Amino acid sequence: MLAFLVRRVVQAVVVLIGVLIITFALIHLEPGSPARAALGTQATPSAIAHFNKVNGLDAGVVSQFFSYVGRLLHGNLGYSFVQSQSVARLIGQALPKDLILVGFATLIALIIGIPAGLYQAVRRNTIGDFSLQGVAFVLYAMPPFFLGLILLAIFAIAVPILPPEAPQSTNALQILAHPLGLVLPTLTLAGISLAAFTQFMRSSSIDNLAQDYIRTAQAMGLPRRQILVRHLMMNSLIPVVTLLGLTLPAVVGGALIVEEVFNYPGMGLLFYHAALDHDYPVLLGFTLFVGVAVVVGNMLADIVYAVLDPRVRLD
Amino acid sequence: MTLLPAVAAAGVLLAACGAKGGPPQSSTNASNGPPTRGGSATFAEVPGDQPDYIFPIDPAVDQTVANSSDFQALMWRPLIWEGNGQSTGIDHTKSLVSSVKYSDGSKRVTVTLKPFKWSDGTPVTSRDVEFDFNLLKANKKSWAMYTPGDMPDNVTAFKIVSTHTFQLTLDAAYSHLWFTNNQLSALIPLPQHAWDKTSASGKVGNYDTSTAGARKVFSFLSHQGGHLPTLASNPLWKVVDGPWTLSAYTTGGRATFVPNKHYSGSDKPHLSQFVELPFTTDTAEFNVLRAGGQIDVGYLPTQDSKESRVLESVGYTLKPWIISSIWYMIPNLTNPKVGKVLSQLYIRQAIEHVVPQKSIIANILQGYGYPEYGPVPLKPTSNLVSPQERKPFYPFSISDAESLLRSHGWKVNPNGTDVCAKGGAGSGHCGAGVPSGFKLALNLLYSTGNQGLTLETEDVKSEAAKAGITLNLQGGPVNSVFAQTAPCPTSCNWQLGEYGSLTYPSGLPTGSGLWTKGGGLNAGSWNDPTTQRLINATLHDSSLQTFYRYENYIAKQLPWIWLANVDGSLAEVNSKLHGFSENVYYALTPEDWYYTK
Repeated sequence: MLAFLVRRVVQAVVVLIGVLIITFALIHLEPGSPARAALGTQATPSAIAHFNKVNGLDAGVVSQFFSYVGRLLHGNLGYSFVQSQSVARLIGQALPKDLILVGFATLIALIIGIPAGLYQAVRRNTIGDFSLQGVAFVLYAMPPFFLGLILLAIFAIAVPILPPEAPQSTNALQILAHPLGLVLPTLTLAGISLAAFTQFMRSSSIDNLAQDYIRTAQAMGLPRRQILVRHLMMNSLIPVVTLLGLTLPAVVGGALIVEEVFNYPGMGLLFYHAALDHDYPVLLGFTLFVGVAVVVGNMLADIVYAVLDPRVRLD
Repeated sequence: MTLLPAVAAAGVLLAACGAKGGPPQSSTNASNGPPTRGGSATFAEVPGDQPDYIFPIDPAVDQTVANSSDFQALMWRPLIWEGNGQSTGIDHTKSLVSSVKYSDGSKRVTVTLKPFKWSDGTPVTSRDVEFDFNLLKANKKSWAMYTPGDMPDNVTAFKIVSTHTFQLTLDAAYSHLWFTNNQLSALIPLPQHAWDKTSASGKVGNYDTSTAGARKVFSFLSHQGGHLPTLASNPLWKVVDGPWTLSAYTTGGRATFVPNKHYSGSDKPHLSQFVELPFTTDTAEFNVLRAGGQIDVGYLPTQDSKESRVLESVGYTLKPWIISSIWYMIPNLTNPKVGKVLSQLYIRQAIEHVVPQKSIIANILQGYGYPEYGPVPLKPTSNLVSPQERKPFYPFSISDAESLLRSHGWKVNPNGTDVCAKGGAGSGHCGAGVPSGFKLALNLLYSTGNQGLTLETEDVKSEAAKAGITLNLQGGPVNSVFAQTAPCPTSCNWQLGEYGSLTYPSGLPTGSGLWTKGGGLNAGSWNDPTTQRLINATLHDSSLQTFYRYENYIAKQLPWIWLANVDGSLAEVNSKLHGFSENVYYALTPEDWYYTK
């Protein structure tokens, strides 16, 4: 296990350096400049030169890259010249929001999706299976903004029992203190993820139902509940774990569309605005953060595989 | 003063022009009784434009409507308050000066202040104006509104005559209209007794009287002004002379104000609280409006303009908010490929002839717009619009465009591309630098951030094609278009550029900086001695005829192609809230808002 972890950490560092180099290069290939974006078209050449000097943008791209990496090694993610705040602070404000939103949504999707998929597999080709299948397809095909707007139209406008926007605080505890505001955005995101989790679970369970060990367990007279939960569900969870591992970057990367619809400025909008404003430090900080999440997510998925399936050896 | 280029990035335009007095034009909701004291009102901020800088001398990066008009101006009043409801000109109630007198052949200005007090009880004095002036003078390059030659360069001496009177000696005689509206309006008295220091723990002195000291003070204040976590708690910002004081602020841009109990003006707040709410997008803001109850003054995104009745049903009243702005397409006269073509006046006239302004207003803008025929907007109503500019010099006419081209040696190919048949200079020829065989195909770089702008651009392309003028549309994100539409040699490759609108910050829309050589917004590199002379004349001569000469000349010369103008914003106001008026410079005046019993 230790060797596996060391190997993966080394791989992660290489991947992150690659991500940084590519992001850095792509940002500098983009037309326009951060100085123009920040100062506007009326900015004089001297003002632009001054801005570039102050922000270290007058040096060559390679030199800028190494300066950035140097600061990074000292724990400094940089300073947003567009938003006049440190990148760490900006991420610190946005990240808890998405951890709460996407975290809850994923949890709800798992709590409903796993048993629903299992149920569909066991009751395959019944009305119950067809009905859940239909709901899953509809949700899966639905763009998040559309689902969000439908939920808003019903629960915030037609029958106004829920607020039309998410809690507005930047403090996680204060956000949690207004759970009603989280209901609609969480349900919107959960609706989309739910469909994916249900379908993965259903298909995996159907495969496992045809396996010998299930027939053996039945022949041995094990209780049905034990067969379904201990044997079928545990073995069918592996593809869901893969999906869950891929969800981690989404948790830190935010949910742009839902953030937009429900006025909930999280990581997605932070990145979106940074891209429009040529806010290099934020773009780089964000990319690095999501890169780390991808690597960690995959690593966690690998570890959970080994826990769920003793045949998998990490070494 | 520099001008604010504004981009319709989210269905609402940024900031705003003009000159005459008179009572405020009330466009408020009908009042059913006397104002009550108390109550709270909320205002929806424009997405992406949240207040984030409190020190009222903005650097370029923080020069936004959200900061200057919607935030700082609630706490610190300028000498001259521009805009009187939906009328251009000065609001004398909200201005800090009681009189402005010109003498010595208009080279000396004597200004007398009203007897205002700061929130800590100290009088607002001439020394506070001098403090602001000294900071501007020593730090002018860090001030977004600075234009070389204008304030503070054009003031050679600042003399304190008495506690409430000061005198400015000018380097030349200036138009009273221009100097009062465009220059004095930029001066904001600042509390010298509380702010003239170089560190939080340092003592207050007279540091501003030396250039080095003023730079240190400015550096300290600007740093504090951008430190978001302490905006509402920093003692510096508690000393105000405006009607409001900031009581809470979140780094996301939510700002809560309570009345300044010691406000000296007659327009004291009726409300007990005023809150500005940030929104991620137009959609989010519109959703909250539709739900009703949370926003008192919001806006209807232009793409949702057909939905006003829905909002009416939940208690809102639609109030189109006209801002003094102009919309345009910039020809790049120094582009290596088409610069010589675009330099031909008849070509620019032909392009103007194919802009179907009326149909754009009716069909694309749903009626929330008005025509534009020159550098001075037709709305808000102002005597600055010359009688000639009230009608189009080049009305929409495909046949007129074709005739112009034919008469200048072009073979016109409707729905194809026109070709120059008689190249070179001379009567009946295409013009100097335009060779025979040259095809009239132009690249138009435009911002895709605004649906209305996109549709308008596509409509112009469609009409231009009928006259054989091919416009190749190149859409891009607003900041990218902004950045590329810069003067050559910074950026030469673009041919026609269109990124949104421009609003005059206040006062006289002179065109200085727009079409003067080296002007910050002269992206197309317009370089014409007559224009320069006429603009200079408007700065030094108050007569309307002088202004009209400049205005008519620019309208006819088409340094920019005039496009249909769009209402600045479609304000939606809670029907129970009264006193709201749409300031033509986008200033917010919640101190005038009230509820009735």
